[in-house]
Amino acid sequence: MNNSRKRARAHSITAAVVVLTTAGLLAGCAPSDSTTSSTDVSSFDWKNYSGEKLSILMSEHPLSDAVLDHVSDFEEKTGIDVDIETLTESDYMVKILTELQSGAAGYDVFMTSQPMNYQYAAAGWMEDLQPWVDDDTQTAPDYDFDDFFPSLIEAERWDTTEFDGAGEGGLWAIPANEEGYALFYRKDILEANGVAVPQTIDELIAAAQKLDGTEFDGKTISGFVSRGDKTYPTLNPFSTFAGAYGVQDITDGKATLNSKAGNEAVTKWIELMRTAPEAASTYTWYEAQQDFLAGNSAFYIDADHMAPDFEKEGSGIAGKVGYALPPEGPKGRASSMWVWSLGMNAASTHKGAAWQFIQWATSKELLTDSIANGNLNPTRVSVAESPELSAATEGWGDYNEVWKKTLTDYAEWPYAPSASWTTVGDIWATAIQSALLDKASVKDALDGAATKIDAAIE
Amino acid sequence: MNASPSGSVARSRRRKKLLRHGAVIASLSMWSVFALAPLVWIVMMSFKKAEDIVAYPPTFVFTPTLTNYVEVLSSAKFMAPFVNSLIVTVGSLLVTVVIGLPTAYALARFSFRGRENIAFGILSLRFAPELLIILPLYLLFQKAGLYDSHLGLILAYQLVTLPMLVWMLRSFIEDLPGELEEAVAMDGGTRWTAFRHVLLRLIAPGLGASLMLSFVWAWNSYTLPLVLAGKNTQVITTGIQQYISAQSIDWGPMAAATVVSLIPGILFAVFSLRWIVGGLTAGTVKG
Repeated sequence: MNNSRKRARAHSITAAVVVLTTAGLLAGCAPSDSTTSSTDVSSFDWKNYSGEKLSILMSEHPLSDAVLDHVSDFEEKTGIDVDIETLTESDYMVKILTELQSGAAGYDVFMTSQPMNYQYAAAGWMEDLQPWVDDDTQTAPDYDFDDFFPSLIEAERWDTTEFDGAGEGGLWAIPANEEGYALFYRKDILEANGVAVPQTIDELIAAAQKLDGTEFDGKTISGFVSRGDKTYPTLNPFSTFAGAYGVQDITDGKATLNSKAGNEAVTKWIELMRTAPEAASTYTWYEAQQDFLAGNSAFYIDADHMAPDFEKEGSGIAGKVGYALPPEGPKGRASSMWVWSLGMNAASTHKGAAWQFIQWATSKELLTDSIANGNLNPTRVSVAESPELSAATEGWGDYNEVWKKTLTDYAEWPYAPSASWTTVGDIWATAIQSALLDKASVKDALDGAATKIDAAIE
Repeated sequence: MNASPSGSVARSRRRKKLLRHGAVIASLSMWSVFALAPLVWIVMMSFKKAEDIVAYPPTFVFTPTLTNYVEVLSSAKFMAPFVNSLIVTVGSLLVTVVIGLPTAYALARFSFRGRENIAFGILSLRFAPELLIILPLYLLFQKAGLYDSHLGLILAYQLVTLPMLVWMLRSFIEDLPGELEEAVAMDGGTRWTAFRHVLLRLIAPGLGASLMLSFVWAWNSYTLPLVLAGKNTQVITTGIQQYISAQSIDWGPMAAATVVSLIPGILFAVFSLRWIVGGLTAGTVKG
């Protein structure tokens, strides 16, 4: 019996070896294009990498729509074959993480943003693009790198020191779309109730409280709406308050979101959120947006690039929305920013071609063309001031001035850069939610969060 | 006759039976309404205009429109993943039957060393979380040229569909008396004739049921195709979500896409139900 078992084991080991060898042989026989392409060129030419093939992964976004619409121009111009895959945001995050972790070089270029940069750059998965920008043989003479908004380029730099070194070191991606956070209001509701556009946080709270529960257009409206979900994206609209009170999430490696300023900002935010529908404590951006689109709320703080959806044909609130700067607090006005950018896989075997694609996709021409696809927060000054953008946003009130002013004067990534920032962000957002739901006092919730964050980052 | 005591007892019994039937039907109907409400809501949404969808309070009376369906059915954004899902699901079911049926038969009828281990090994594929194997599988697929190919997905889906089919059919075959096949042998039939003419008919209900389950699992599979499918092989589960963009969601087309994607499953269920019933009757006649 014992003998036969041994024999059986020997058989299964042989079987396993056969399977593994077959798999290995299969892998070896498969046509693979892992030949490293040379990036050794003498001068810049769009045809330098003709004949190569690129794989790109993008999130569903007006930017990807524009790239898809115009990619044949790039293929013609360069002779490079481009394969683009787009996925919805959450799916794309899972996929790009799997891809980078595997080190398989399946995608050469991908969409990214600052929190993602922190994670990927720290792990060594992303290519530092500064040397490419500086190299005249690789970068087109008319690329005009200085045309990008300086605050955006700064947001892409990080020297990979945990919780420090933002704005310095490597350039991890090139910005292609920006989101700042603005105050949206219903012009008609404010007018009917004799309420002026609030400039400060206190004025906003007073106005929202006054309008909350009033009748308008046969509906009982709420004063305000925003995201309240317990995940870090909630911090984006809240950042307008955090920044206005000068809150820092981490100082010298220790959580400081429970400082006096931190308590004040959350207290004020909750006061405002109490004029929102009760369910807002679990809203993510699309539920909050839908509430505002349905005409249920007077004020809304979220990303300014939602404007095209408010103003599109068939929207019940088109032409009725006013756009204002984020409200002012003791430390002035503030806004977080989310920068959709293009980054390069450090494991890519087509880096030269990949850099050409990034250049093309962030060129003045493509960013101008992408306005027609709804990419209405361009990252280049020249495109922001173009007649095309003015024409596209005509009749949208102050939209065009407001997003530009937010970006040039206020928007910044206000958090300490770290590969584990999303964990920190989730803990913070959960604390805000539990205070909003009266599960804990603001102070207890934030103190608890600080302890948790300190434990998490140790 | 009518006045006879036995008649009135029968009548009251019948009335009781009717009452019980009525109660069961009523509670099942209520349960169905509750369970189907989300589906009904999605169907309604698919016929609504954008402004009716976001209307608050929600509207139940509206002018229906077919624009969402026109958009969905006329765009490659939806149709390509839909066709891919059909190819991959049907393909993986075929492979599953071709491999699974003989496997189940062998595991049920032959006695050999390590039989239980092999059977359990196959079943354990079902226990392993997909996330556990996805990274090595991704690497292997990239290297072997199986990434972003229908064949690759069909092979990967075997992890989902094969164990189920093998285990269900194995127990079905074990339940059938071996004498049935012996009888065929007595009449000069081979093992193959016995399998084809007797066994296959008797296990038809089981095969139908396990194929139906495998279809549902393959069709709904999410993690495997998310990572292993690419631009050319995107399937319905990730395809439907393409209507969620960075700053807006096209609820109408997404609802229409959901409704259309339900149709193959319903058709398959109706088809295999007939098979199951057919198989049962075939069994009765033979028995």
